[in-house]
Formats: sequence, C-alpha cells, structure tokens
Amino acid sequence: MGRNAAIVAAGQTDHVSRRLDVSIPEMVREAVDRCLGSKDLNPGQVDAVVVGNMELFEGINFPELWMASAIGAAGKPLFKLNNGGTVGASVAVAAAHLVASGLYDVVLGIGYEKQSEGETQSAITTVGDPAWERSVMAGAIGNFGVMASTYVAESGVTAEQAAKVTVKARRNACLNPHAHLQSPDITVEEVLASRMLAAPLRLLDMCPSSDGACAVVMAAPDRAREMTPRPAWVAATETAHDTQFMGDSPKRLARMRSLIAASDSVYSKAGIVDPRAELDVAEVYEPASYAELAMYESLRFCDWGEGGSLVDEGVTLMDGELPVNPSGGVLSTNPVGATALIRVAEAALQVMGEAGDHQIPGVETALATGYGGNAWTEAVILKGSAP
Amino acid sequence: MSEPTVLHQKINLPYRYTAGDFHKAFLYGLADRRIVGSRCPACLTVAVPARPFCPECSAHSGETMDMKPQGTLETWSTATIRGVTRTYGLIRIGGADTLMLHIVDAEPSALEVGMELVPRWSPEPVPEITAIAAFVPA
Amino acid sequence: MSTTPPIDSALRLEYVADFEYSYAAGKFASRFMDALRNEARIQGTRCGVCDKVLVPPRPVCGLCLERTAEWVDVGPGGVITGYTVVEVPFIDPMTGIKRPIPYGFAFVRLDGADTNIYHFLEESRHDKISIGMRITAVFKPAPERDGTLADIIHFRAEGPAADE
Repeated sequence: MGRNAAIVAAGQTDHVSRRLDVSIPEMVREAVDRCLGSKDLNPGQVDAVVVGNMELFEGINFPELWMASAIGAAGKPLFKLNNGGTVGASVAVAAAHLVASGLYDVVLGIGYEKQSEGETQSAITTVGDPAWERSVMAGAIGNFGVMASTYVAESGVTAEQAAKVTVKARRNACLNPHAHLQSPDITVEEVLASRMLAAPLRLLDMCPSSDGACAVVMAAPDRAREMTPRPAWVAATETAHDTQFMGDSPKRLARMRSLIAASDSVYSKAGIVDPRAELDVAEVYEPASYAELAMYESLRFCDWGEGGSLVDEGVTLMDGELPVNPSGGVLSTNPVGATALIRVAEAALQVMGEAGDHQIPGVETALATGYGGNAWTEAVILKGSAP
Repeated sequence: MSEPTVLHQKINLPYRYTAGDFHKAFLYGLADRRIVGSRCPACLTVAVPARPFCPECSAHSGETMDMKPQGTLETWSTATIRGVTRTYGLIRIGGADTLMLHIVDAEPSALEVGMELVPRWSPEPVPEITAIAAFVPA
Repeated sequence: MSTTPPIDSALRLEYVADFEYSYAAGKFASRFMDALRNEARIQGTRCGVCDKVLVPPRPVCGLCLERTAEWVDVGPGGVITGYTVVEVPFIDPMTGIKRPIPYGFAFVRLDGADTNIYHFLEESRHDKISIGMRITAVFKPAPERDGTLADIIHFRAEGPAADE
C-alpha cells in the first residue's frame, strides 16, 4: 500500500425497474451529480474516472466512450472495468489503488446498469465457456438454485430462515430512499408463498432487476480532509478468484473459497481478529436470501452451519450485534454493475455518518463485499480514522 | 491426433434502447424534417445531434435548437463493403461546433472539403437517422 | 402538421444483436469431443500432484498449478451433488429462443471424477430428485452426434424407474 485513500462522497439514483425517462448516460450523470453535489464538488476537481458495468446486459460496446461527456471524463484518464457482478467493488478498489499509488489525488468511481434494456438471464449465460458450459447453463437463477441446494444440504438451513433474510432486507429498504423494493409489511409467510423460480429459490428469495447507478469520490489524505470532516478511510482491500469451472466444487456457495480468501485477507490487513465483534456494520453482496446466510459462514460471522441461527437470533438486524445490509441490500436493489459499488458506498455513508434513516449509530469499522457468480470476491474494510 | 474442434456458434440477444429527451428531440425532429442541435449554457458549444451533455465541458445542455438544414463537408471517405460502394462524410450542420457522420450521395470526384451539402429527406417521416437518406451537393 | 409526439413519451427502440463467431476449443476439448462423438465416451484428466480427476479435462490443475498427467475415462453413471428445477423461461442466447420450462438442472459428479459438471436432468419434478441420487448420461444416437456437449441430451435416473 502506498499512501492512504478515503471515500469522501457517494451518490446514487433512485433505483427502479425501468428508467424510461433517461438514457444510460443521463442516468449515470444523475448519480455523479448527486455524489459530487453532496460535498459541493465539481467535475473539474476530478483527476481520473473509473467506470464499470456488464456490457452484454445493455449491448453497448465501449460504454465508457459513449458516456465520457456525461461523466466529465473528456480529456481525462478514464478506465473501464468489465468484470461481472463484482465490477462495482472492483471500481472502488481500483479507485483506491489509483489514489494510493500517488498517480491521482481525486478519482471518481462509477458503476451502473440498466437491466431493463437487455435480457439479464440470457446475457449472463454467455459467461460460460463456449465448449464446456454455455450450452448447459441455466442463467444466474439455475446456478443459484443448484448452489442453494448444496448449501441447504450442507448446513440444514431452512426456508423460513432464508425468508427472514428477505424480510430483513425489504424492511430495511423502507429506511433507504434510493432502494428499489421497499416492503414495510412483508412477512416470512409471504416469502414462503411466493412463486417458485428454481427450487429452493422463490421469487421473494431473489434480488430484483433494477435500473440505476452509483458513484463515489476517492481522495488522497490532504484532499479528503479538505472535502469532508469525516472521510471513510480505506483500511484494506482484496480481490480473490476461484478456479474456472463452476463444478470444480459443489460447495461453491456453502464454502465460498473466494469470499473466504478475500475476507480473511482484509481482516488480517486491518487487524481484525473477531469480525462479528469488531465490525460495526457489513454491506454484503447477497444475490439471494440463502446466499446471505452462507456468506455469514464464509465471512466468519459464525461457525459453519450456523448462518440460519444468526438470522434467527436477530444478530444481523438493524439493531442487532452486527447489522448486515441496513440499506436493504441486493435483495432490495440490484442494478448489477452498480450493485457492488453500492455496497462500498453504503459502507462509506455509514462510516461518514451520512446514511440518513438507516444510519447505524457510531460506525467506526465497516465491511463491504462484491460478488461475481461464486467465482470472484472483492472485500473492502473502511474505517473512521486513517490507518 | 484428433481434428481440431472449432465450434460455430452465435450470441443472439434482444435489446431495448431508451433515447432520453435530447436524442428523442433530435430523432423526432428528423421525422419533422428538422435537424435539432443543442447549445451548452456554460461554454456555448453547439452540438449536432442534440445531446444532454456538452461534449467539450460536460455541462448539462440548455435548450435544443433547430439548425439550418444545410451542412459543410469537412472530410469524407469512399468504401466498398460486400460490393456496395458508399461515401461517408463528416458534416458540419448549420455552423455547429461538432461534426455529424452521414452518407454523402455524390461522385467522389465531385466532392471538395468545404463544399455545401443539403439533406435529401426520405419519403418516410420516421424518427430515425435514416429519415435523412443522404446529404447531397447543394 | 407535426409528427412529434408529446415529449414525455419514451422513445424506446428495440433490436436484436446477433453475433456469429467461431471458437477453436483447443487440444483438450478436441480430444474429449472426438471420443464423445465417435464412442460416446466421457473423459477427464488426472492431476499428478493431488491425484484428482478433473472434468472438463484441462491441461493444468488450477489448484496445484501442474500439468495434468493422464487421460481417464469417467461416467457415464454418476451422482447428483446439487440440483434445482428451473421454472423461469428465458432466451437461450445460443439459439435466440426460450428453452421450455420446467427442466431439471444439476451438478453431476461422474463416476471416477472428482469435480462436477452442470447438465440437464430428464426429471423435472423437484420431489423426484435428491442429492446423492444415481443418474446416467443419455447420449444422442451416433449419427446425430456432432462433437459438442449437447451429444449428451441429459442425465436420467438409474435403476428400475428409468427402464423403458
């Protein structure tokens, strides 16, 4: 690590199913304006821009070229990332590295997706190797269904326990004006009665498809202190991959190797020994209710097989010992290319004390994760004081 | 030794594209046989087609404006692709600060940088770039 | 007369992107596909370090970082290690048309292999499928096989229930 870096501002659109009123660049600009506007910053103060999404979700080739004027990148260094569901967190990590390296003082990181403009389940199928996996894939939903079945077999987690995750997410979302699905009265019974998509996953066990964008400003120490009284300092970042083929381990969700590797690494770098006790809040990329429970285990919030108990005991509720996804999480809002950046942005807002109605009191240490199809994890630890 | 396996496949995906107000104004303008641009309220750059953000300074565009339906040929190239020969020109519409790509229907030998062009409208008033069939010498 | 509609109506254009391409699958896939097409055989490669048999076959073991040592026949029987029944229709990008629902979809660990492959199940009733259940590959007839993974139609339950 070179010098320190900190998030000083974050902004996002109000996420919905379909944004018919704006083009993609206009939607992205909304998030940029909200981000910069939150600290009275202007595009002229930005030295470099990093942008990411899932290109086949909208079918726009070279989207960074297409939106350079919209994001204030004309004439500036502009980096594009295109690495799956985890791309938003990768944008944050890349922005942190660009600042830490000393090359740029102020970097704008952007993630976006307009899922309504393409066919997500179909486009995600093209990630499979043409010879080995593409012809025998069943979209993200088929993959999640199979992974969830192995997790249920491994841990004994119940449908009720999974449903509690959705209930937590969509009730928390009611406190977040940007969240897509806000359900104040949702019940476990309602989740259990919803339409089966790919057993054991029902409609209300799954994240929605959203149109939306998110932006953050990452700054060097002196600039960060000028821009905001309480920056969210990047204490640790990590990225970890798994092997090429999904079937190399049937426990790819139950014991998610890339999540274990990435979280262990950031805990170690940030001096965290007991994450459940030492983290004040976590924003994790949970694509499905069952996935959040499995992630509790891989993140070492509890022992193996105890993910269901954690939600039963209310540990991860807004007022629990370790609140997870007070924003409402991915189960409430999922513009894919923005989703992992929203995790980092929400963790930063918690540290900065700017999360509004879903603020957890006194957050000093926050964890954010990105998730890419059981194959890739980004993890970030943010702190209220410089490392 | 086995024969190399070469898979002949395709990726076939449907998409939808939302134009947004400024591109919509440009495209529906074409259906009205008007060419619509936009002016930056900050640096006064005039762009054609109309766009939501200034290409030079990134400011939000102000209002759209109808351009004089006439252009100046700034540069061109003639290409033959699968037996079809076409001339593509970058055209400055109504004195705008930007250039617009379109087809120029004229003998290449008759073209000169700086010459005046006018749109030849398609019979069909559609909100698409093809509402202008081509630009031709004035 | 103006053809301009009210400014608040969305201009939303619809189109289909259709990319055709050729993909050279490589030496390991070529050998695998030859055996599948000509002999209805399924093969993996064994890592000489961890001794695991890897399917799909590959030149290097991703965890040991050593070249694999030998080819090994696996299957056609195996067990289900994870499964679902997909009840959501969506377009298969390789054909441009929707796959009929419902269909069984599973991780299959072929006999003799240490890894799993995704494939379809003949069975589409969720309560008739379980982890640990034995299944076997159903191949296309030889004249119809073209050396792709689709030469395996799907997997069906072994035993009396599968008899025809």
